[in-house]
Amino acid sequence: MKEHKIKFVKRGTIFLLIAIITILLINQAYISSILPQKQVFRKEAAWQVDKEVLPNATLQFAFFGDSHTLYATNPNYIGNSYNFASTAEGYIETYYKVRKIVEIDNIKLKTILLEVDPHTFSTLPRSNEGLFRNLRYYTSFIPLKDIAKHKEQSIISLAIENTLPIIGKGDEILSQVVSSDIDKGWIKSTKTFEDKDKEKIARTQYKRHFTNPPQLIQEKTLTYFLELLKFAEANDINIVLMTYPLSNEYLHELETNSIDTKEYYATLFQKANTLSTSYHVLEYQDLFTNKPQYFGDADHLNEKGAEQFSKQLQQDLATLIFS
Amino acid sequence: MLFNSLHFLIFFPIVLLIYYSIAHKYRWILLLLSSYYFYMSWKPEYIILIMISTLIDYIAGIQIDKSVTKARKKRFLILSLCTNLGLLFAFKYFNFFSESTRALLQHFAIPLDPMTLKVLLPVGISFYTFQTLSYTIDIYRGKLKPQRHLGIFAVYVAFFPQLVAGPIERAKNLLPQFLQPHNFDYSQATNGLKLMLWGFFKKIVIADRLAVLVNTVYNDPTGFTGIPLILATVFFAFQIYCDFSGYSDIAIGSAQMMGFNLMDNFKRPYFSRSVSEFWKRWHISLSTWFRDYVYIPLGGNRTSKPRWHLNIAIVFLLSGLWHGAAWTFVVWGAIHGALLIFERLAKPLKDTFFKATNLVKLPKLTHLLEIAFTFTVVTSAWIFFRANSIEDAWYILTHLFTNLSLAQLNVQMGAKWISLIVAVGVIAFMELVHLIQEHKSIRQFMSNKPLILRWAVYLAIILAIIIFGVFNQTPFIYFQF
Repeated sequence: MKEHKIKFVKRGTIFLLIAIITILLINQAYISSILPQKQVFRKEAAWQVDKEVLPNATLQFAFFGDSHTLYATNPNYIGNSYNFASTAEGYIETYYKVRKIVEIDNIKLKTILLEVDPHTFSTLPRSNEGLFRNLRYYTSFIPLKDIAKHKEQSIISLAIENTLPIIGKGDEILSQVVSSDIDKGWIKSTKTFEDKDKEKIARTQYKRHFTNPPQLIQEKTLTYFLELLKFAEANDINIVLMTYPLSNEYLHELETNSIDTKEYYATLFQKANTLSTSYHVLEYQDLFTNKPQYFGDADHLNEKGAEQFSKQLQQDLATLIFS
Repeated sequence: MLFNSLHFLIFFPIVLLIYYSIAHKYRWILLLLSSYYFYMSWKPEYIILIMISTLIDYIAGIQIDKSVTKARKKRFLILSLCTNLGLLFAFKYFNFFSESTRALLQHFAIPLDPMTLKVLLPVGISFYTFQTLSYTIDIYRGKLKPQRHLGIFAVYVAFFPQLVAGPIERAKNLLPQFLQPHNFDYSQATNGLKLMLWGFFKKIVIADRLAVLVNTVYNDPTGFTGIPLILATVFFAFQIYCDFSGYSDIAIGSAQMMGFNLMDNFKRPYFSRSVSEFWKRWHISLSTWFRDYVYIPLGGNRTSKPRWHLNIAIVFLLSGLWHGAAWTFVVWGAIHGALLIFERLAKPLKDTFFKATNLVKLPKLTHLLEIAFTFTVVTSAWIFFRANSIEDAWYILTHLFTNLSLAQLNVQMGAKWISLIVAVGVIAFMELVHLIQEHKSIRQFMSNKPLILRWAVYLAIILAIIIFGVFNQTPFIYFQF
């Protein structure tokens, strides 16, 4: 029995050592060659360069949101602006990002433009599992224990995930990371919508955004949205709430599923009004309803749409008077 | 506690280490404490149910054995049956029957609002209930002597590797193993470890990966037609197999590491050439349980043909209901019962067809056709098992071949093409391993290979789990039963 135990421990230790070394080597290769190609890391690297040339370390317009904002707002048409949005980003992440830009990057933000689309506060895309998806990026400026609290996950498992980002990333490694150009945070979408089965695409997109029945406002996301408004007020930052253009088919899908956007916005603004913070609202939801050529899919603008939208936005922003 | 959790990865080595460090006479204490801890890490108060079951069956077992008259024996057997099935009924079926009664009466315009219980289904209740029932029934039948050591009996009921999802062990096989001292055995420990590794691969790399795709379609099937429905249904067939057999492999492997031999629960069921063969390869511990404690007592096949068919139907309806308190499971069980009856009735016709078409001269092709046919019918029946309602299942069944288009398949299923390709790839890999296993034991196949090659294979599987695994800690499907 003793011999068996010794053999097991000996061989087990050797095997374990080989396994650990192999895993660490592959993990390191992933960290150094694949991870930096991911959008969020490339955006951060680009921002670190771009921020150095900002006049007086001041940014006039900073856009935050998820993929709607990311593809729609081209800062090249809006003077002294930057697109900080990232795919599937919610207000918990945005709150920390804004704080990082102000407190760590030491940039003076004049105006933040926040996305408030029908799905922005929906429970489905804001699951704990999806929070801080690019963990290594967020741990570079948020303590792990805070992230663990938000994700309701043990700090040990998060620490493992953070140290070994290779875990579960097989599909990502096999599919080449798309290295689309980043231009002041904006990413151009070359996709087209008009020649596709638009209803089907809209239905698929809808299902990604809403549960059945839809739960439009998740408390946790709303709390951090309000926290962000408070932070902005405390730091003398102007606030603009924005709705982004949606296709006819997507709007129809909302209607079919009895989502009353008017009621939703009334509730949302009522919540925002509980604070003393003032804000402007820019509504573009119906801007391109009959222009499928401007969309990459049912709810994201493509390159052409981004150009038209950003030009319009530039004009509208020029007319806004901030207190 | 889930096998696929960090919690278990810490818990199990600690238990193993202490297990082999202490004397045999104290090991039952460790196994009992660790088993209770394992169960209580989910919902602590429900341990009471296991304790009640343990105590009643312990007493009933001894009393049945001690009783001289048959009537007294029967009284204690009934006590055990009523307690165990009563708890199972209260926690698992009460609301189902209550709701069904309400729906039925509503159909006849009789307003009634029967009470429902606001309780969570205790994890694994169907498994440990059946395990303890077999104990008292076997004593009643004189096939088993009762266990007089309450602690050891409690370990038999709550043994953590198989507590929440089987295999449903018979006392005759498992109980004596708690009395035998288990010395550490290198080959047994490594074999157990390899089986666990394979189980983790099936669960984390295959089942949980497929779950994402299957859930997208099955949670809202009316948004889909054609290929996505077919693909999701086929994927579910493999998901449930990998989920459940993965659990069984981890259970059997972890028990083996401690020196225990649990029964096989799966034998590559999708290589079955008939539905009856499928049930000899799928969830073996449950199908043999139903055979021994329901089918044979009902008369089995040693009775008239109509009665034999009725016996099959009863067993499969009960099996369906065992899986879940919902009509979808009952229909699933009924389909399997009907398929088995049909298979028996149609056998002469099938033989004639094979002879007439000269297929008998091509045995390999015949086997392949039989396997394909069995897989198709079994997979079709899974639709009812997985669907959220009978209406959903009917929709899926009637729209499988509507609008057969591959366009935007990946977008529709909410996945990248690469995820679909990897899903198909890992299934193919598993079936390749199964194909080898159909002809020879994979252990033997591997043991002839040089150490370096064996280690490379184990390392590759570990890396596959780490890199291609889906780590959202999806509970095992069979936990809900």
